[in-house]
Amino acid sequence: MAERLAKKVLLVGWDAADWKVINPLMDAGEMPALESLVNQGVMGNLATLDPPLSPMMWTSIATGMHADKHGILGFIEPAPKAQGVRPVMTTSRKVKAVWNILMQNGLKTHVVGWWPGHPAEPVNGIYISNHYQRAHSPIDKPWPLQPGTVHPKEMESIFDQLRIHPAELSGAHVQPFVQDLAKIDQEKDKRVESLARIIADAATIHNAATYIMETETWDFMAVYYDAIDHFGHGFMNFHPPKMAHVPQEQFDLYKDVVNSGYRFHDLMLARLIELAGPDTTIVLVSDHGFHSDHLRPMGVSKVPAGPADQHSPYGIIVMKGPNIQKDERIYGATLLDVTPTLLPLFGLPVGKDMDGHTLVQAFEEGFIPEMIDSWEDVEGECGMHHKDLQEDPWASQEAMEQLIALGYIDKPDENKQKALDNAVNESQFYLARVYVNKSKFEEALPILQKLWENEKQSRFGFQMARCLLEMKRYKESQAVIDVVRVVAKKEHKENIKKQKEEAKKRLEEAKKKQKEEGKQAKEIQTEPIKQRDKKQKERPFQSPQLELMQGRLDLEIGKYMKALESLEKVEKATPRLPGLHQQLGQVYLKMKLWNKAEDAFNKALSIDPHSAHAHNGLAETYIRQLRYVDGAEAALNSIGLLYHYPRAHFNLGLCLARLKRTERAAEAFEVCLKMAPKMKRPRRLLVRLYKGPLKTPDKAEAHQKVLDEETAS
Amino acid sequence: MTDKKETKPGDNKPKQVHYQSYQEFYEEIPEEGSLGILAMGFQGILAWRRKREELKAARGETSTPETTEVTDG
Repeated sequence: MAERLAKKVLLVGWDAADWKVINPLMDAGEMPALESLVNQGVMGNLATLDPPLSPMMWTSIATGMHADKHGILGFIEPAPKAQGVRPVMTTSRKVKAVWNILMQNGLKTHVVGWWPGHPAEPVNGIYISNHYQRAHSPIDKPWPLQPGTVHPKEMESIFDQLRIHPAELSGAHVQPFVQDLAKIDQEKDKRVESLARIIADAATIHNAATYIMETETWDFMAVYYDAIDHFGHGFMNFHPPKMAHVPQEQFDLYKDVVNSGYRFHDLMLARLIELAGPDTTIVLVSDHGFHSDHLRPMGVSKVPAGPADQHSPYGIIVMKGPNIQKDERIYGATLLDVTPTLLPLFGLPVGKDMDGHTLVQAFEEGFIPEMIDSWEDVEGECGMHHKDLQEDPWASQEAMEQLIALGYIDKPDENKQKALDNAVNESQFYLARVYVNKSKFEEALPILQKLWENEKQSRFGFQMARCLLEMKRYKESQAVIDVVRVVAKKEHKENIKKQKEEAKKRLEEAKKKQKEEGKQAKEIQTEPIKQRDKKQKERPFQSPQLELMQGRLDLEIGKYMKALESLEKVEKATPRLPGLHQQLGQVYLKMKLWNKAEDAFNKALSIDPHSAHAHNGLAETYIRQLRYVDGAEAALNSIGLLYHYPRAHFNLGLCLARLKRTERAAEAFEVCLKMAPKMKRPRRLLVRLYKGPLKTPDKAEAHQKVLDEETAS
Repeated sequence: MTDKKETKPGDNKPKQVHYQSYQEFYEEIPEEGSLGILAMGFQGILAWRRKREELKAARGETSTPETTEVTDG
């Protein structure tokens, strides 16, 4: 066993925490606890995965594996005995979480609130499920814990008493979030109620965590808070700067909620740090970010998991403790890297079957982690559920309602079979997206084809067209795009119809209520609605994402002018669409218009400075202009944002080779090939480098052999 | 492996809050609570509940259903 680098480890999860909100608060001295960790440790972005759905992400964080391996595919899953659907359960996770591996190695572990975390796993410490905090009855009625919420069961009564009901909170708890509380008619505006619920839930989780930290021995403790994500979904539209469609009055009332939510988390973090003690290694992560600026979407897709449109691709990571670098930035981390980084802290090897890597840059110099084939093959009690464990579906009802209230899932249909079919379709769609995210298009395609055959939904067709495009099956991709265009138009019409019906219903309800209350009915202002309807009719339907894909397809088949036409059409309608200028840059590159390409990529970066693809596009532009120093810098920026990006490693290698830094160039090409073994150009260049300046003919021969075999096959 | 002697979960259940300056902390708790008290964790919430009950009792009001200390139930 390797040397143990940490005495104890505290893993804190803040769902959806984002540096874009944190940085101004830290600069203003309003998050001192987090700032102390950042100053004494390392910080960086943590790239999320697609689809960015929290139960999948937090399981990837806890296992170091993609969802196709860990088996958690979305928010819901079929319930046993044909009882429809239920929220995803710990029993569905197919692999060991980090706490299982640690327990197997004699380390005492506790877990609080992880998602999915129900039923509680039989670990050697305390495990509190993610159903623990939800208040499902009025405060004066019994509020029993659901079975399976606390392990060990004997401690249920203690944790039962540590819960806070939202109704227990007072104005003093809510006022830091909403200063003009008195101005709100809470009968009509239910936002304050939802705010109190989020605060109470977070405080309940915090109570359980602090109780365990004060009263139990521990080597590893994981605690997960979902409140930042919930503050975001409920109130990010009111966060400054004001969004055009948000009424001023509403903005004034709720503009402080998001920042106050972060300040509250910092206060809780300060307590965790105090209880953990100075020698504990603290790792704070989020599973994705949350758009808080001009990238905030005006609305979310009317599809299951639509609110995930508000998520941004980078979460956060902060690490502080013995043997961890101090006041440094780390680059290129993904949430798959968390478990492979936690295990070496205890002197344990990393599973070769894990998809992530140890963040060696976070450690003091010269650290190399040990490896093991797989932790799944290691036998012994690890605190996972027995495989044939089945849960009573009623236990999940409250958590399901919360997901519905948040808009993550649709209210299940009356017909349980239909709900089940929907759940299966969703999980299959997410699995296909996991494969797309891993560039395993061959595996994603049959799943998407089946979904598309069963039901013509534009999102299924869109992903299918994307797979075909990536697989260079251009004609088929075009055929699917053509159908998707028709389907998307139909969906758009249906959505407008639905919105109108809902608006009409609301209007009628308001009139009825006014009548019931005996008030004189106000004249209803219908003119703005008529004008909006007219505008909607006049504006031709356009799906910018689809047009972007059309542009990409035209680019691939050499129809540059047609690609430009599609993209310029999109630019006219939505000039600040993320990804648009990046795509335009690619067209200009193909057309050898280097200056225009450079402008386009810079424009893309002015819209989203965190676009790894735009940085990489800029690198390619500089390479064409023979500006290799700039090119290397741009490629490094890209890799810093998204490490698993073979094309950027290739561009870095190319620049370094031209700058005669051959050893580093070879390293970059090797990394590229590790990620994308089928790429030929880096392999050819490696053959030349190893044969020539690096004088390692055996390596050149090995790469040449792969090239020859590929040619022969 | 652990930094304290090996125990089973629940062995160290606290009988009462034990801050060094507990009395001072307790005196400062407002009846309506505060975010800072929530952030203190379970010790904060239990102390707040106890304080609230005491003040209510002093005014002759009836007690709320929440408990004020951790018990085995």
